[in-house]
Amino acid sequence: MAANLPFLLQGLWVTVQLAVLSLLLALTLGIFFGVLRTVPLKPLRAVGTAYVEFFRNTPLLIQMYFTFFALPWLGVRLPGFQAAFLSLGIYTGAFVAEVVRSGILSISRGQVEAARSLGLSYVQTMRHVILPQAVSITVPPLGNLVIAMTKNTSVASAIAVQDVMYNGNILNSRTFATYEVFAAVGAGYLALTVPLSFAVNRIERHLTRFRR
Amino acid sequence: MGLSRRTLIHSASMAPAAALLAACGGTTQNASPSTIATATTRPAGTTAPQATAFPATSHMAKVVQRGKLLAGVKQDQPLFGLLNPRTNQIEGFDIDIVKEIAKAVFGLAASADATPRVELRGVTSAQRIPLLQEGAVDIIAATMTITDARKLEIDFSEIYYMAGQSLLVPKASTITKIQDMDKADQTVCSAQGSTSEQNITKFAPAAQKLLFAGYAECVTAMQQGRAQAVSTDDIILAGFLEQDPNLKMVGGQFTQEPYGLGMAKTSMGFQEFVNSEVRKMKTDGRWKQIYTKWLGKVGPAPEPPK
Repeated sequence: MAANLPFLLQGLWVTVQLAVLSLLLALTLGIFFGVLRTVPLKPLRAVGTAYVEFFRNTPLLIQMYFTFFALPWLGVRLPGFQAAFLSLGIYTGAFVAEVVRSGILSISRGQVEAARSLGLSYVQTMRHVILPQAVSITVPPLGNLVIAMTKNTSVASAIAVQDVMYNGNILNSRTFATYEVFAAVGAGYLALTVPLSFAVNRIERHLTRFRR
Repeated sequence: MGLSRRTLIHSASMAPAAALLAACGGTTQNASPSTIATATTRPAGTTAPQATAFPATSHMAKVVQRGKLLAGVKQDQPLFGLLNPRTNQIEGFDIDIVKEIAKAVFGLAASADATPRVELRGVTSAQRIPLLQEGAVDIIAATMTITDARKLEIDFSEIYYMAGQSLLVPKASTITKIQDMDKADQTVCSAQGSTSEQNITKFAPAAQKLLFAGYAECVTAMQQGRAQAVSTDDIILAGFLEQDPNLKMVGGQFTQEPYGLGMAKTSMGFQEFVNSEVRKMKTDGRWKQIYTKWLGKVGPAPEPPK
């Protein structure tokens, strides 16, 4: 088993890369569409709603299969890693958007009215009044999403991305040491998600330090 | 005690199967002769069972007395054992082999239809040995590779089919053998955790590997140019070949998987009987006939396995 550790670690490194890149995409898309769902313009809100409802209501595996196997018929042939990164980012972004939207809506309407009556524009109100407060509210649910997404990277093994799950499958068929292999793979995920949990808790404490 | 328990399990497991078959037979009465309807009335043109030809304690005598040969076959393996949804019958290479065995047991003429004398039961790979051991079937003909570990559990017939790993490539491909794939710019697709995948490493160590959960994904990936070849047992590849005329199989068999018919170790005299019948089939042309019927698309019938 020890001899096979480098093989699993090599897979874990791919998992880390996939998780980090997908997270960046998910946050970008999520903040954009989350804000979009709160703007006072109905067509824009509809676009945000369409994105969220489509991507959070279909299984990730299907989205990955689609990105990998169906896009080539439209002339876009993505390598496994890029297809996985795109689908995971877009999929998780839909959940992030909902968290962001709920964060924005949790700030009382009175604050918006106060800011606007002081002469702040809509963008300024968002930038200086709403978003700073919304961020601290959204950290715990966002932390949940980041952890869930890190584990969701394992779905990418289905489109032959050589992550820790994929390498675990290969190793299992070579050694038939099923328990040992998947215990090691599980430990690999824990090694990523436990520090993440602690980091989320610290950020939360940091952001709420002025609250009491 | 042991005997009565086995009989109990036997009858309990067969009852639902018989009911199911009867139900199926009812709906396809016009499309094909039902397997159940003819169970009590002997079909025309067949001779009476020659029960006297076998010693009373032999397994053959038991089968003749029952009036049907119970066979476990695959129902999801194209060309070898596949349920035809239109007729509700399982069809394939393995089934035709079983029917030849049934003809011999019941003393039917070579031209007779053995369908009424055979009761087919669809099995999964994992069910094959347990069903034999509990006596629920007389014989297993379900793409089963003969291995030493399995020989400890059941009896095998002689090899009736030699399967092996091969390559599936697009028709325009210039690849002709597994060694052509042994380059860093070549990608072979196979299934995660399969022995096929390990054989690729053995025969073409330099090749890139693309591995999915199943072979259907591999064929799609190859059609999209993500891999230059798909590799696994030739019988699985032959199934895809049948569906997509833009593919071809090349390179012959670079591994060997000998298939045998399985029988329970308690079946008196059955192994010898089946073996002599398999041998006859291989020499008198029936084996080649069955091969051509099911696998003719893959290529001309080879010499039967020894």
